[in-house]
Amino acid sequence: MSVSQIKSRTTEGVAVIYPGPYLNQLRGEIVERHCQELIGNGIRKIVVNFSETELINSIGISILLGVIEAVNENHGSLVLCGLNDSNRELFEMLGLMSHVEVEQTEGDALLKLNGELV
Amino acid sequence: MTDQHKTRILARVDDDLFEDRGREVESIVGIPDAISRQRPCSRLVLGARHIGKTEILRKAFDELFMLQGPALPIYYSISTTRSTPDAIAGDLTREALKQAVAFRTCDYGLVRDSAKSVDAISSQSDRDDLPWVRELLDRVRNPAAFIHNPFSAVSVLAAGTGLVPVVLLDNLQRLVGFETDGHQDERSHRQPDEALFEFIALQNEGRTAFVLTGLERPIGEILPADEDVLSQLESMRVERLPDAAIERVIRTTSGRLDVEISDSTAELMAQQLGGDLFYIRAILDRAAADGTSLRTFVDFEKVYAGEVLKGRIGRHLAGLLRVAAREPGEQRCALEVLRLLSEADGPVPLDTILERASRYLPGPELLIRRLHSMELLNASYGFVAAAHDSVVGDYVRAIYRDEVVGSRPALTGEELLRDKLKGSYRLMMSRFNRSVESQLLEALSHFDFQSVPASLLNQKVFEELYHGSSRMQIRRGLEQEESRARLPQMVLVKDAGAGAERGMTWRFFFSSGFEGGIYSESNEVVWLIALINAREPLDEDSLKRVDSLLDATLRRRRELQSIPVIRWYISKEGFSRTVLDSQLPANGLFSNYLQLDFLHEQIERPLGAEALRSSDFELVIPVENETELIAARTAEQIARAAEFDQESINQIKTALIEACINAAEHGESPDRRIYQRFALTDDRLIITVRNKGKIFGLTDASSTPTTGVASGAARSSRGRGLQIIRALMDEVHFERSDDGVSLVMTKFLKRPENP
Repeated sequence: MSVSQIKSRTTEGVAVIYPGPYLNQLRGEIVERHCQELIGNGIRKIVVNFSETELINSIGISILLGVIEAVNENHGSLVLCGLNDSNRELFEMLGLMSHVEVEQTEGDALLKLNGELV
Repeated sequence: MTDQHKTRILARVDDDLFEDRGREVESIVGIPDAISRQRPCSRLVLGARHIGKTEILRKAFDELFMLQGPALPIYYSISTTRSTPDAIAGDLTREALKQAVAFRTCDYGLVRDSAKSVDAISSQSDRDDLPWVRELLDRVRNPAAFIHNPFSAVSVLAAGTGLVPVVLLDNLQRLVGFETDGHQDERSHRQPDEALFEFIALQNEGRTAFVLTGLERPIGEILPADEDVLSQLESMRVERLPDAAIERVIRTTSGRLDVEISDSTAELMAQQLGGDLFYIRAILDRAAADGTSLRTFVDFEKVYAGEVLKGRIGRHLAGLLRVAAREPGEQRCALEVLRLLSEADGPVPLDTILERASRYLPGPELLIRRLHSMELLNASYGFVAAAHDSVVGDYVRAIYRDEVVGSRPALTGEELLRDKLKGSYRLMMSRFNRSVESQLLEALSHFDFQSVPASLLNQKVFEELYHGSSRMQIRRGLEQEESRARLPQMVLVKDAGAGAERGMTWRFFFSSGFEGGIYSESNEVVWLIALINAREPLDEDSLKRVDSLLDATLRRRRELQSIPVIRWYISKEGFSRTVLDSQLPANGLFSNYLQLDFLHEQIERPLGAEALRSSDFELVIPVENETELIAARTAEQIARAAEFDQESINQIKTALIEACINAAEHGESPDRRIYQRFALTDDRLIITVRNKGKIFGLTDASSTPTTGVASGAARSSRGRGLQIIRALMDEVHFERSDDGVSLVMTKFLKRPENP
């Protein structure tokens, strides 16, 4: 299949990561490495935007849990957004929702993180 | 059946292409068994020319030979050059000796060896067999001594070997003698056919069995009305193979010959050649030799025209014609008669034919009889009609143009090609009609007092309920329909004629049975069914025309006057608005082909009938990065076609992805492949995911999911995978098979809240 590319951007001290259409082990690990780099560079606020993500598998979810854990350990904040109904259902089923903040849109997520700044 | 039985000795066609004739072959192979149960041991195999009778005998020979059981098979085709009693006696005895020695020494190469001398064959036999081998050898050398019974060699074999000789006698019509000059008139000594039937009648102690075949009409002429013969001779009629089987033969054979063919050409070929296996083979061989493809109708018709004019088909038909008409005068006369018939719309009075024929030949009656015997025309009850085999008509017209009119051969070919191309559309329509007819007949035969949604017999209601609906929606609607119609049980279905005019073709059926589950006179009912094929919905005028024809059909059946008659009109595109609104004729039933299709589907068959509604898809993916997405996309397409909602589709995709990951990671499959089957029925999608290898997923089935935060990329995500599958699908279970384990998961189609 296609070579995986993960889009990301940084705005007002917040990094936004877009995992792409399918969050599996491959893309999960790229997200994980990217987050490690961000934390290493002192960025503590991360948004993962799933609005382009159609499918997520269990390995991707496991890796995401690792990312959440790492951000928390480094006193950072991570917010998920743009989840479609099925992915939200999946996260709820696997108990992810209790470990992480979830917002409807990227704007809401940024507001949430910048609000914490104030 | 073991591989040994697949050895071809005399058979010419591969087993897989001949499986539809398995029943006929079995009947012959089962002769020893029939003998032990005191049932008739001899068989008369009847059927049209080129329908596969010879091949049935050859296949049966091979099977009996390889079985090495109590039956000793002897195959003998009566030759045109050896139909005198002493010639048959010598030749048959030689063949019997060769084949019996081959059987006893298991040397099937010897059966096909026509060069070996009888002495060489004899020296190959076992010492124990020498007495009967020597006796047969004497007879081969001195056949004239045994002409009183050319088949007596068979008795020698029965007595000498202790086996039951099963004599497979092909081209029996040649015993009649008219294929050669003179002999039939010289009844100075007993004729071989008399000897044969006498022999059959006497072999009622099960010492010998005969299987006879050849051209049906001449055999009918020599078959004695002797009870002793008929009680030993069981008739087997070989019917034309169903269209689908013939098309399969065409496609498989063309594949083996490397001839490219389209499905529609294969269908046309089956129709135009009347399912005749000899013609089919001739066309395919020609296309293979010329390296021509048969992708289009034009491709096929070109090869056909060439074959009919100067190929194997043409030579074969010329040979048949020469047998029936020997002198040039006779040949010209035959050509005139056959052309006249091929261009006539239907049967022609015999007197007309004789009058025309006598212009070319004085006293043409005998010629007409011979043409009838050779199945080149059909003469009965004072009328003469063209042969059912339309290739004969094409050949005759082409030869007529060529030889009588004197066209250039190239022109003749072009004319034939043009004719055939013009006719190809009509032919394909007739195939379509036949498949609808068989659907109707199958439905009628299973009516059995079942109740079906009433809308299927009332197009107006059907349109109101389902206009613009998809098949799946209609199917669901039908299941919930409250108004039901109780069908009768049909005990008799008869073809009541067919016709064509005003852009429509029709066929009528007459079906009688009982209503209400009670078999009494007052519950008797008749359905008069008109199956109409027209491009447009049927208007009032056309319906009136059909009705008047149905009236005429009814008038001919006076016995029906006290029985209620229901008329069922089935028209391809249904009926016009005016017809439906008037609902005339009163208490008529109106359906289009779509309704008939659903009715056929709704009627339950007895157990064992195949589940018609399920349709399966299969997918095999390699275990590679992200190939599970291909599976997910496939599932999505199938689920969407079955009208699952988006939420369910997403759930199915997610579950399938997990199943694939499980199979890939836990399966350790040697071929690194994941096999998937998608079975769609009315109310559910069943997905089976399987790999070849160790169990996958099973060990995780009972483990509780990890809800805590995981660490590391290996991740304890497996329990999660199965948890996801169980949560998203409606039913999940594992099935063990010989080479692995399958995960079977089912998703039910949600019913609409308000039907």
